[in-house]
Amino acid sequence: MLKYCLLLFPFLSFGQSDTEKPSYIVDNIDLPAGLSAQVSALDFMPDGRLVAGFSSGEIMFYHPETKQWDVFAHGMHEPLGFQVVNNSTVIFIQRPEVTRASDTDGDGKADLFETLTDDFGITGNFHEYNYGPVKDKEGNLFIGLNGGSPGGGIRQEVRGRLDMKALVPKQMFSVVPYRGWIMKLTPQGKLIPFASGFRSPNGLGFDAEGHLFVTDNQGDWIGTSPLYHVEEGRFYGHPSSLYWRDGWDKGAPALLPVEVLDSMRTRAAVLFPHGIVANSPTQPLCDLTDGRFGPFTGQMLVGEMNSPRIVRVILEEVDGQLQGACLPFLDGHGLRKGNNRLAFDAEGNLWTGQNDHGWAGDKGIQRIRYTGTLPMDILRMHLTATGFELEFTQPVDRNIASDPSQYKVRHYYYEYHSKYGSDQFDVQDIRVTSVQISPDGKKVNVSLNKLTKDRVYEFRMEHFRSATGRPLENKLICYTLNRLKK
Amino acid sequence: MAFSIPIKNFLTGAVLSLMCQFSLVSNSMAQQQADTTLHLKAQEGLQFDIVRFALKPGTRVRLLFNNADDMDHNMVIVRPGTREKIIQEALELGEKGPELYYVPPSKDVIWATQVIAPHQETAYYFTVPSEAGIYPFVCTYPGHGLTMYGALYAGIKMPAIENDLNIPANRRGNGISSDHKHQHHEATPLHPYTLEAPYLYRVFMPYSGPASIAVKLPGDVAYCYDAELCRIRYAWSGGFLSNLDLWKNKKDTCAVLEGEIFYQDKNRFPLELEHTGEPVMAFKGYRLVEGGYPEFSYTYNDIAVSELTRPLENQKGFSTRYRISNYRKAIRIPLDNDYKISSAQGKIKGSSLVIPARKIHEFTVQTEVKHH
Repeated sequence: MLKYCLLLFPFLSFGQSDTEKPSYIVDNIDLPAGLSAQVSALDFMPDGRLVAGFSSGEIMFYHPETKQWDVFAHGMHEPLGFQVVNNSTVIFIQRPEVTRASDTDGDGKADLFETLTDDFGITGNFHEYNYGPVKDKEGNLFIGLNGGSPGGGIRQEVRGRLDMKALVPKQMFSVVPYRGWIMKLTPQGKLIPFASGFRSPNGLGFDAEGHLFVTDNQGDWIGTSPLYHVEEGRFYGHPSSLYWRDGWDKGAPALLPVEVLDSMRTRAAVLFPHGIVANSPTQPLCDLTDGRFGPFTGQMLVGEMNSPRIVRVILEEVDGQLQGACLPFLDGHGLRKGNNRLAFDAEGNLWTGQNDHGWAGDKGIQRIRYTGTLPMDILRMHLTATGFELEFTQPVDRNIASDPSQYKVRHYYYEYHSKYGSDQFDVQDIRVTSVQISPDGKKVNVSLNKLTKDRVYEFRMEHFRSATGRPLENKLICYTLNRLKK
Repeated sequence: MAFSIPIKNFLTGAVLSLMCQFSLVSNSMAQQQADTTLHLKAQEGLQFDIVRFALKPGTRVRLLFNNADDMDHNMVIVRPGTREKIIQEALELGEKGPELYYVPPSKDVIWATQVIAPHQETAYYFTVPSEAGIYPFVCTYPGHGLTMYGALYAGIKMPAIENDLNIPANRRGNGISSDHKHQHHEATPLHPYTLEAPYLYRVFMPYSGPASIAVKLPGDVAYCYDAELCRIRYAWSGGFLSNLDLWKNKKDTCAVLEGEIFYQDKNRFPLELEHTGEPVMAFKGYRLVEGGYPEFSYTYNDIAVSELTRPLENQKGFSTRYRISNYRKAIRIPLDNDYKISSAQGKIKGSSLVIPARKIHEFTVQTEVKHH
């Protein structure tokens, strides 16, 4: 123990003089005049250039060194996501298709636009956004097809087989295949329906282990916005898309008894409590920066439209299924709202592109840099047999952390129903019965007076700080407890 | 029209008690008598349809609050000058927000609705404060309050709308909403560059499929290419498209043509190729050639076709160069009463222009408006 103290001493003294130093800094990126900076897609080229897509159809490069902007392509139909191939080729999704755009003559501008797939329906409804593509280890691309909105109509001419029997008033609809689906595009160019049940899946991403994750937006059938672990053949809850399931003969899926739909669906790995963590989550992006972006390597960050925030997700496998927690990662710090697209550069800085599109949001591009000052934050959260283990990035202040009254815990759930959004039900304050702190001071084992499945457990630790006095960066964490530990 | 005040039965009713304490008035709790009815709509674009209204202090109001948007909204009346403070406090409610309907427990909140879901309408009752003043009303839902607000003038004369600092800046324009300020031909830059024809936009186009490409040619001609049917649907002259700033809002959009359509397809592929049944068209993409002309590629069944359309000199029309690689028969192109169709590589035979088999690897068809 003495040895430990001696070793830690220099860091401690450094830390104490350093408790106010920020761990992250947000920079604004200058944009060219005349650009409506509704960022719809964002990634990096192997040579370090940022590639950004905008709702008004531009695909542009930004050179971080020279701060120069160049046009790669224009007139695209809402490019909402990239898959960079090499320094001269980018695959992207737009309204009508997945496109591979290449500069074949070396002038820096795309001159070849190849349609990789357009094998899905379009009604022309404004809400039929297309998301992705993201690529798995086998080279398959995954895209997400938004449903149509009852706030709009359909065009006189549509693409794909139109079937109005799939329509239910006032709900997001899928009247052409395969709206509301996640689709898989094989390297051979075949587009295969992969998973159904999506409403507005504005965000696809893989974690470090190759699991596919997709966010969705609160609304009809979606009580609060979820993060799904998406697997082939599964249904995730919004019924309209079921109409295009192979062999479907049950009419408009939303008219089935809710118990039937409930029994079919796969629950979210993580729920983002509405108005608490996120109202409109966007792209999940795994931090693979190996520590260059701070201590959260391997975890996923998720953009959020409605508040000046990026959300962090901590997952674990419990009883064979992924579930876990979400918490604010970056609040304020000069971050804007509307964080629609995220990308890491080669140095491990996180770039965020903002959008509003008529909803709550913002415009522009910002860069988030890790300063190297370790934040005092929750590193991981694990379900235990009696409660949760909270692991921190730094040793906790034992006086505070050992006091059960310092943990404000409650649970609640969101109803699965056709109504738009859900109130919180069974809201209960949960008593902390005991707290155990690990010898290194980084792990806190919190036992609760009860643990119920199918609840969100919300922890708030307002006064927490590190042993060196650095305040806890994010004081709120919400764990989605689908399954208890066996 | 957006600023008219649809208040019926304006009465100088008895002054009720000042509702100055924080309260969430549900319908059952509410005072059910009203001097006037106010229709207020939460609408697309984070705004109320009415941004200001004048009422006498103490007026009992029946508020019909219609959420025509696709997000949740509320409506909170606050003390003069406290709007920004209240929206900040609402944001800071954090996890308490949902159960409080995002209304912070503040003495500066005079009255508030609950959160109302999209496409719902609810009637509420409130009483205008007895103290004259300009009371902001605002949606305190996180992220909404910076733009979604207006002003209740209680016993105070409203200034001219263009000078009214109590309403959002984009709503001060002489009763014209900001969307209509820039009529077409206005030089609000759409892009950080100037486009020189030929160029294209992939956009929802009128009279065409949802996968359409609008191409502006040098000169006065533009055409609409349908990337599902793999053919030009129509061509027009006199301008291009007037509303290309399509993607800022959340509503159905369609480009608007400038000028007049002079060519329309005849609901079929223009070339007659030998095959049985309906042809299967598959769009493969395009290459930008000769300074930006798109050369479209597609398959017609298994026949690979590429086509490149250029303007005609001194004629209203266009010329399309076809390249067909794996088909070895003559191609017939039906003639048309409306357009003059010709090709240097073909011959008129009866009612068709015929391209001989030896020319189909590359031939050009001109389509012109007939001068009657």
